[in-house]
Amino acid sequence: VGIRWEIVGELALAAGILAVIAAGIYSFKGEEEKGGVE
Amino acid sequence: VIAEAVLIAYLALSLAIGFIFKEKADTIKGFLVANREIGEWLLAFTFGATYFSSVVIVVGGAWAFLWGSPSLIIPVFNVILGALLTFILIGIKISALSEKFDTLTVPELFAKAYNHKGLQRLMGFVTAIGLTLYAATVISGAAAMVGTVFKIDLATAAFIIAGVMAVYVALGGMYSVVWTDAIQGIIMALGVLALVTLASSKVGGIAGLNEAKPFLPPNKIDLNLIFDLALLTSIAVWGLPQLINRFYTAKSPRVVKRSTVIATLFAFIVTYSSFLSGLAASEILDKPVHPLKAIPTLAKVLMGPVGAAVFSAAVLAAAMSTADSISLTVGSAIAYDMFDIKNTKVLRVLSFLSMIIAAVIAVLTLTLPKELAGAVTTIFKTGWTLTAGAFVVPVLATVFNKGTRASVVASSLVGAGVALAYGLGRAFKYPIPYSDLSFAITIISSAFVFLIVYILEKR
Repeated sequence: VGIRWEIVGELALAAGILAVIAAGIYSFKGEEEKGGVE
Repeated sequence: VIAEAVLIAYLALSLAIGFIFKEKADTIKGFLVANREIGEWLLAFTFGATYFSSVVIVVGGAWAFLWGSPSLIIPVFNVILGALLTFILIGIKISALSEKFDTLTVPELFAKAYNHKGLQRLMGFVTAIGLTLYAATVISGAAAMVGTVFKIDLATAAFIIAGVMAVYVALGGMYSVVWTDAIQGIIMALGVLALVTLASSKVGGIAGLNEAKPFLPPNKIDLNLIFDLALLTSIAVWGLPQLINRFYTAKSPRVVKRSTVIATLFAFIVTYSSFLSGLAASEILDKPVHPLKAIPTLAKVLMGPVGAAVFSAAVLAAAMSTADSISLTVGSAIAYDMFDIKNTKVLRVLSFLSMIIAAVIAVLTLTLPKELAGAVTTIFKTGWTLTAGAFVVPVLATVFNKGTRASVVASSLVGAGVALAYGLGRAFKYPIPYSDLSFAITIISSAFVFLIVYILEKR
């Protein structure tokens, strides 16, 4: 219903790459000043 | 001959890992949680390799082949909800809680958090039933692949694979599982990366993949079902004990935090490669094939017979890395959780037996005629959803410190019950409303019952 499936592939790929970048930022943020979340 | 040599060397290495870690796994803490000394790389690989079995490669690829680009919602959910958010929302807190309560299994965490031993037995029982069914389907998938490629009888293949896993798990416990998972994870990631690289260059990159016509016409594609499968394969992770107990092995919550990026990247590589390969298969394969054969056939077309044999090693690795964790979890659920036996020897025997029992069930399903594909997915969905239905809401409640004993028990029973009802309805062809949204309904009913009981208790 009006959805253009041909751009879904690109959106999906972009979402995945953004998730990996977000994970990278999350993994390393705040390590120096707080020493993690222990 | 090369392919056979690779396969034998790989199985021998797995066994060697079992012998290497035998001594370290002689204590109960060593056997069940690897003495909580696992670092970020091993944690990410054991999580990812346990999460994604051969099912994501073969069945996930088949979904993409059948439904085309709408199916890509599934890998998006897997990466964001199944990997990234699992680490952020659940992993760090579970790692801290398991240390605080000094627990070795997920059911034991409930027992200690809510001060009720019966809860541990109940959750252990659900784990044993649900995960044995799941292990059986994983083994049957691996046996079908290895048996076909190496021309061995399927039952023999199933028992060889299960036998090797049973031995190394019984010897090295969680140490064996984590270290073999790391090797298996690397093999599976390289295998699917090779396939997707060849496949996408053949169809002309992303642009070509976007134009791939799915196997089914658009009006036959059920978007509700795709959405439900996306939830089923991602949110379920928040509850499945064989995945949650990975976080018990981490050195500290900080290790879990740093491991997040590796685990998310691994999930991205494995899921996207599998689905994009399936998408390419619908463009590349000119003759109609059975959807479950789309990925194996694609491997044969693009890589030749030797390449396809090596690729099947990746599928085998994916299956083994999931099945070994499951048998350890089932073994501990029966001995440690249900019968309160804190003896490493008994745990070894039960982990061994749970693998062999799963293999027997697998062989039985393999001998079923024709409707193999249907049976495999039905059982897979029941085993996975039953366990997830029982665990997702209780785990969330415990992690966010909102649960009470009664609300956790009620939500668990309702989740397992609804999942079971849908599974039985499907197996006996009895129509239950909204069956294409069965997982969403399972989790919503479990959460709803949790809220009702929780509010009533608070009054």
